Amino acid sequence: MKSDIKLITDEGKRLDGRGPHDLRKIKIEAGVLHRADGSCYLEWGGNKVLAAVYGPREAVPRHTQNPLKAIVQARYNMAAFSVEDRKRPGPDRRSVEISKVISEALEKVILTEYFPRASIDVNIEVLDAEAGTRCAGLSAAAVALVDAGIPMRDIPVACAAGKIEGQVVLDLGKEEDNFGDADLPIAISPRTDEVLLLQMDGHFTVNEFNQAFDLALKGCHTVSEIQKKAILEKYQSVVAEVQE
Amino acid sequence: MKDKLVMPGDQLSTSEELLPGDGTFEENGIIRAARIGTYIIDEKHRTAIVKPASSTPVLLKKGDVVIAKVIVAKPTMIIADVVHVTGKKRSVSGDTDATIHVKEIAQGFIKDASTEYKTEDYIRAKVIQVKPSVQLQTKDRNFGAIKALCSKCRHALVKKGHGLECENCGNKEHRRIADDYGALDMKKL
Repeated sequence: MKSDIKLITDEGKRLDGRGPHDLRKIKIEAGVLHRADGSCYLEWGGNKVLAAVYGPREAVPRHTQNPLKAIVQARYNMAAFSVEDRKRPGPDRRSVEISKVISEALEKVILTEYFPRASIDVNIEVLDAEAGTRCAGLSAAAVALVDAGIPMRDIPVACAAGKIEGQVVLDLGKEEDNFGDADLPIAISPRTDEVLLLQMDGHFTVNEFNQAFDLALKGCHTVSEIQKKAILEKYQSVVAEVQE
Repeated sequence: MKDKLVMPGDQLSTSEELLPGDGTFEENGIIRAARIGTYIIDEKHRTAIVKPASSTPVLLKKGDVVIAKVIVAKPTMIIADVVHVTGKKRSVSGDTDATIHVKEIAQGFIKDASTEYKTEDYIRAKVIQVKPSVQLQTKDRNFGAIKALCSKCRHALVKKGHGLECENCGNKEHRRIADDYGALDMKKL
């Protein structure tokens, strides 16, 4: 859909005043829920996401169990009030797909072979949505998994790049996502740069794709630093108390 | 030396130098942290360990005191589901199906295990084996049933003298009970 909306101003700034390579403001807090084994609250621009991890626990129904390793069951859910028009509650085609790709991305980094026949349940609740909720959800889930003490190879992280008015930019906002040309969310394992999730909406040329991929990769590393800072913030004090 | 806080994926050592211990994993000859915590070297066993800073999944260990719910009572053994490990706040990860062999119920001779525990009883027991199957034992005084239901009307049984009695129908029943029968609030576990 083409529209008259101008996504990049004459000074090269975007609608919210960001430059093409700037991320939105990110705030992460670990361990916010008492009843969950691990949890995280994340704000990414206008996105507000709550992630909770339960388990590893016995997988039910039993035919879903894997005798050699744990299964990871992520459940991405958007609250009815998370978008402007009320969203009909419950799983839809979009959230089922996002749940699947997030589960598969997380499964790659979790040491699932330590917990045969178990299920690691990750609930991602989107309270407020403003483009890029799957990246926000996955990044929040990663922090919640660390908070739950689940053995992992790395702390996964996600970030998107996109194309608006023919220009490749980092981390699309709401209008940019709606009226832009393309969107490329990726999730990586930041230690190895292994790609855990890659989706594409819209069209890129090969050149643009490579450019967007590199940009999203850089964005992932920035978000990864914020994740680590949030985890340290919570546990530095815990470790200091133990040592005293 | 002040212990360093490590994150999942951080390099700790190499497999030439140390063995990968609790909270670590080995990848291409490098030992890395698998969870958040402080890095410790066990000099005696030359093992790298990450002492967890967060809570960790609960896995059954030999010697753990657990609370289990009886699923099936047979003459030779009791099959129970481990629902809680004493002193832990998290639910049990991994295998929870456990068995108590008739000879592990009490010090003396018991002819029929199903006379000592019945379906839906909650019992406190000690883990005596984890692999290949979870085995429990209730030989001590503080082990045994901590909550039991009347087999006629399913109301909770209360301790009267040495036995159990149903306050609803007056039915008298026998169980091997723990010395603190009825004292534990199951909701506070």
